[in-house]
Amino acid sequence: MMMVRKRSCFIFILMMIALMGTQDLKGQNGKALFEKSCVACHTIGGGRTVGPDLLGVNQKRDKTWLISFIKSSQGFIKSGDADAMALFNEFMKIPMPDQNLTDAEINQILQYINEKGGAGEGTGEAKPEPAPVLIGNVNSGLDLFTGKKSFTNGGATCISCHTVNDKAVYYGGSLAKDLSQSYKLLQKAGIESVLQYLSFPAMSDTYSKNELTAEEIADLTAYLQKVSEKSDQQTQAGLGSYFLLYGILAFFILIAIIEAFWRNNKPKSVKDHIYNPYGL
Amino acid sequence: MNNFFFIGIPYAAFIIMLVGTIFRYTNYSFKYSSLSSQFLEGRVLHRGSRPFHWGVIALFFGHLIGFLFPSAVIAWNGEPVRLLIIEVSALAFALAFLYGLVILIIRRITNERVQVVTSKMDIYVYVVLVAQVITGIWIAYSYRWGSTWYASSMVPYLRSIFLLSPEIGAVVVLPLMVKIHIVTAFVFIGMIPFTRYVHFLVYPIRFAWRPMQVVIWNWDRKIIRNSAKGTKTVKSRNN
Repeated sequence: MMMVRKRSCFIFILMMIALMGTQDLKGQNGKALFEKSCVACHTIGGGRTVGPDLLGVNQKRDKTWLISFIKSSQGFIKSGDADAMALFNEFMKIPMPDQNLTDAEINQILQYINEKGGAGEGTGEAKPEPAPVLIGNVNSGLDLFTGKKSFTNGGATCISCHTVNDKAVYYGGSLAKDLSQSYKLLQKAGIESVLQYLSFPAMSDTYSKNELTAEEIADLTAYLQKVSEKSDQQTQAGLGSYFLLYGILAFFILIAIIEAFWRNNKPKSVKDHIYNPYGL
Repeated sequence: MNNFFFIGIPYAAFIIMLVGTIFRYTNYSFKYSSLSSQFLEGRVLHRGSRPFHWGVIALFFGHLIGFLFPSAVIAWNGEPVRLLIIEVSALAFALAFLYGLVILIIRRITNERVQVVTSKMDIYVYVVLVAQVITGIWIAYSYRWGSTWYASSMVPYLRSIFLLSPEIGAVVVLPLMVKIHIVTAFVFIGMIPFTRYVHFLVYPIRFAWRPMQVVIWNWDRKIIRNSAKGTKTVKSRNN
């Protein structure tokens, strides 16, 4: 009896743990899903940003096409769909991240886009509320980019992963994209959208708890605009090779310290010659 | 597939490590050791062991500090000189780790006496460690600056693992080398209970500043041979 109770208790706990994982998605409607997964790159009637404006997308494409594209845009493109390929090329070959959504959830989102697009008076209703226009400061943007000035909410500096073709940024990171041409690709609206809604998965996980302020976004956008305008005239002074050189130098210093510190250590057991007479 | 590599393997590794180490400690506590082979060969061991251990300890704590205080690391790296100091030192320790590891692998392969006490598990450990250190150096050089993006992008993932609500969004988009580094790290954690690496869990901290322990015969074998009792020991004169 005791065993049965223990076992059912155990199964109950396991079920609770399993349920905890799915709880997030329960009760979410199309609007919430759209705001969570799509708004970073798309608008409904607000014009193109990183990705296309989704107003009337249900009329343009059929549902199976949309579901395939949303689930894995890259997989769909590789399968040879001409429309998907054209779209990919039109939007500067910036891949849309795969969305971990079920068919039902995608349907909810598409329904929401339908309602939102059709409900208001024309397209104006779907546009985000007009925010006060901030004029970014280029120098401030550079300082934020390099880390000379910290982000208000403590996010990582841009150069941790990115670089730009600017002499002032001689030690840019090389994990993520070179942002020299980002402004040309995405334009003001696109850059602001990426920084505000954290469009890319790596960005979203990095900054979701350290969001950038509106002023910081404006400064960075202004700086990236400046970089893209003058990047053709500059040559970047990369620190990559120096970094390796410094590392190797520091390694030799480290080995020298270790050897010097333990120079009196007995190198072998005192009767080694007995067991190992030929020094093998 | 990503779920398997970045959620399944980490949890499996932690469970195996926890259960395995406790089981091994309670049942085979005499084997809970680094199983030193210094007595069989000391000269090359010391040349390789020191850089290896200093490298591994520095890198372990480097990763641990980034994990525990990510915002402090991000703030520290805000200044370019400080960022360079941390990156260059980490690279130097990684190179010391690789240098020591190569010496130790050569020793284990070439020395006949050490070969006798080499188990299959030692070979597996070497394979994983080599993968770890090479991918680590590769990442440090090719995907700069790892110290900051580790704190800002990797730590949220690692925390989410510990908080039992894994979020792998930031990990799946990272380059292959980083993924290999992560997966081999978890595989290694899972291997700990079955390897001589368990000694780090009972590692006395004063090892760091006292000279390495050298095992030597502490008696005169000739006296023991000729002694009627056969157990009498004397302090060795040549030590």
